[in-house]
Amino acid sequence: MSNKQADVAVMDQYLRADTAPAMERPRTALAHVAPAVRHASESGAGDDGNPARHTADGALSLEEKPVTGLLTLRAGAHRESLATALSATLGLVLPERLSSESAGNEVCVRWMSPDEWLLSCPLQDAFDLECRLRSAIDGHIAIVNVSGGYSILNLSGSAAQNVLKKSTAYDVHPDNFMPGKVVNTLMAKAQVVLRCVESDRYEIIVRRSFADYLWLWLQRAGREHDLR
Amino acid sequence: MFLIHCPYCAEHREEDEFHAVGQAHLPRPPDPDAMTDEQWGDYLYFRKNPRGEHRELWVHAAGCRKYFNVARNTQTYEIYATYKVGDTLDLGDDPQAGATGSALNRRSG
Repeated sequence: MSNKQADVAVMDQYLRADTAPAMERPRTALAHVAPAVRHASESGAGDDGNPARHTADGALSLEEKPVTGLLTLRAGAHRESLATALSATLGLVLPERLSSESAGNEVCVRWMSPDEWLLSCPLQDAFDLECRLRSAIDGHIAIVNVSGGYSILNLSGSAAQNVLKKSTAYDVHPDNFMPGKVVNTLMAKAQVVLRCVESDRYEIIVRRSFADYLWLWLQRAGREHDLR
Repeated sequence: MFLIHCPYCAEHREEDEFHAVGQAHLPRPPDPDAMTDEQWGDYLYFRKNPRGEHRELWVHAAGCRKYFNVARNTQTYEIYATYKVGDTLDLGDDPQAGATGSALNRRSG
């Protein structure tokens, strides 16, 4: 265990549970939006001061999540070893094609490709989780912390599906896109990981550099529902 | 716009998510050192450009990022089938049909 932990040498830069209180909370890709929202609209920012927009009637809500721990897991021939490690560490099975597995609200592993999965967890747990997975795996498997590279948006409400329909060519009808399903697709030409968390609640993971563009797009798309 | 079936996602997806990469089924020569310059040049640079049935390599660029084969018609844009890299697909045609463009006529007849 300690041996494998020592192999992970890069880690000073990561937020860890034991150093977290001393560190400033990392800025999200859309941190610059939040103050503007607070001044310009009645709905203001979210509970955490993160960017958030809502309609008055609650039909639509758009919010950016605080920076979340994201680990890319890759395994080809040794996927069984990864599956074992994941079930031992988190009690999760490795999701099959276009699906995801969650443990509570914070931890979720998504199928990305036949040999790639994306695991999300609270930021301060990411390093610890990476170490635990590394010590549990055996074989040719890659784990990469990509927490800083993405922004996660939550889109929810009865009008959320309508906003998605305007933004992506993917068929988001509940018959085809049911809770737990994950697709890599294009949204307004930006590459996203789209997940149906539950009925009328969607999670959009987008590259950090596209976050501002997609935020403005969704804000505009929600205008017909009086998103403010 | 049309839909393309990704054999790895096992779903039809919008054309926007894909990129064409070029002719499929180009085996690397087992012994490049034994080839003449002309043979090597043919392998490296010369590709079929048939009118009619063609086999191409495509990539699901905005999706699972996997490469797969597409059997399609370059004239009508009809996609006969998509299949994983490493698989083969027999459409029941003369293997040379793609080069002559006669596949289209036979299909419509």
